[in-house]
Amino acid sequence: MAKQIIIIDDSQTVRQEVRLVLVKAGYEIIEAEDGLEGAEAIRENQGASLAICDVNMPGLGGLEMLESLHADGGGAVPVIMLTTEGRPDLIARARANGAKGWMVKPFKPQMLLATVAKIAGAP
Amino acid sequence: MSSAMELQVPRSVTEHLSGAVVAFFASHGVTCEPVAHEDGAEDGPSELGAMVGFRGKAIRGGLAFVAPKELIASLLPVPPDGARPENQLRDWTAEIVNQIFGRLKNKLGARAGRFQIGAPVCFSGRSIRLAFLPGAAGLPLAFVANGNLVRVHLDCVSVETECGAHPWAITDAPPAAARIVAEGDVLLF
Ligand SMILES: [Mg+2]
Repeated sequence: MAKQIIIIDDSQTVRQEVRLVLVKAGYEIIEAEDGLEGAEAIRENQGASLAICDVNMPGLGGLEMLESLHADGGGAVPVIMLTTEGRPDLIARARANGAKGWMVKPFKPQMLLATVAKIAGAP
Repeated sequence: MSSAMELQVPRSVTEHLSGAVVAFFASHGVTCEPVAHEDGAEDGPSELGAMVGFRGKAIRGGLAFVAPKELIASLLPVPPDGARPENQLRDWTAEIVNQIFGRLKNKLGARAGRFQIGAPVCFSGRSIRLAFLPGAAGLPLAFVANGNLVRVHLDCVSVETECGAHPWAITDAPPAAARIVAEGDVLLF
């Protein structure tokens, strides 16, 4: 069975961009469009191999989502952030709340694939 | 508190915003050059725009991006959605303004303090005329990309503050040492 990757971003274009790269490589994708949906998707799919999460989203942002998951014990799904933000204090906040990595948009497909493979393993 | 009329956009913000727009287009393989500011032509093409609101320590405002729909469509990083072409372009335009503001913030780095960003909103029309409200400081920029006029407006007002902070909380001084992760970079913890 293909490994599942959860992509959480309010931009449908970004979700589709990530989906195209990862599906082509053989991963299965679950989409969520804000932090609330993202937290739910992570809680319901504890077998997923990775969640890729935006920071700035309406409703619950990515860092707030990470904090709420971390407060609940974190769970089994590793999370990396994919965002336009590059500020050290935000990166430190993600790290302190259990994130495994930080990627700054726009991403290069090979870089995304290599990062996903490193954390989630081959599809 | 600085009065709104005194509010000036620092030179470094102007330079970084212009650089952020040029770099965004370059990352999509399109050459984009700053030109003297101009409004869209009366009989101009169908345009799409997006605006994102922000709030810093002592300033709030918005960044607007307007470009011809055709140019925006040509930058789409995914195949066109035949069933929902308008929605797809709106979503992409919102992401463009988000990425340009992100680049600006990252370029300003630690000097810019903390900014909270809202969710981008989109608009469309023909010959869209962007105007600043009285009392707002404005930075109108124009560019030409693939023969198309692209306009970017940064609009801001100072917010009353007890600490008397500089509205932008930044200076034209060199960047602080703290490393900002650049576009396209990956950090694994
Ligand atoms: Mg976003």
